[in-house]
Amino acid sequence: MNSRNPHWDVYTRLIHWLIAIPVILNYFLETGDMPHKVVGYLSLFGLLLRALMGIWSQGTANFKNLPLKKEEVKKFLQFLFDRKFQAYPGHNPLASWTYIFIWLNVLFLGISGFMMGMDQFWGLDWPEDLHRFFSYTMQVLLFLHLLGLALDSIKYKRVSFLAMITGKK
Amino acid sequence: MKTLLFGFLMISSLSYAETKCTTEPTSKWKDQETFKKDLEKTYTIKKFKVTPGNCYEIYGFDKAGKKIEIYFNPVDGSIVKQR
Repeated sequence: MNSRNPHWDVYTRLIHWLIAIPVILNYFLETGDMPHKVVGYLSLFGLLLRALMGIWSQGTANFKNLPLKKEEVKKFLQFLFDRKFQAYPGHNPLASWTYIFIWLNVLFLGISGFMMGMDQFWGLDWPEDLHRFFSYTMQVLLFLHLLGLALDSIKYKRVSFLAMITGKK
Repeated sequence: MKTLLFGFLMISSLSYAETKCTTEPTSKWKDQETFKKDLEKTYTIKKFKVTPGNCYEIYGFDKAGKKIEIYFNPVDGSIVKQR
């Protein structure tokens, strides 16, 4: 993997869809039903794999390599407005922050969902309210994710949407 | 890109699939308090609600202490869904 022609390896892509597809599916599967729960836990499993990858992998998937610092974000915003070309081998600063919030959101959906099924919280409103709240923030984050991809497409003149399928950035 | 965003918005409006129990007007529904009191002979009720799908729904425990979630038809009191 190099900066000239970066790509997402097959594990990154598989794990991405293992998290993403269940999240989207669960908007259609009735809450509380077994399919909804099983699918939700699939997403959590994908998240676990992504966490392991973030700790152990050598490349851009490693959490240490995410450009999260304030200076990086400022530099990236500057470059967006200056129209100067700058390629990131992995995720850009704004994308990195969005993904952290997405991963946390999936985690909180999973935790609140699990709590809804526990005897101690059975019938209580607040675990359900929490779960519903995170389903709304998930939609907002998804929108930001798609918006970022669209802007990436326009900026770098590439079909960014396909990158997580074909691997080519 | 616009089509994708539009499509996503359209899809999200279809979300939250729902159990539906009746299309009858609420005037035909059993009185909530009486119905709930009746159910309390069989179940410990933690929550009683009217769902957007026109069901009486309870969360609670049966006599054996097992968790139950039951959707009732509010007109005749029959069980529509139980888990």
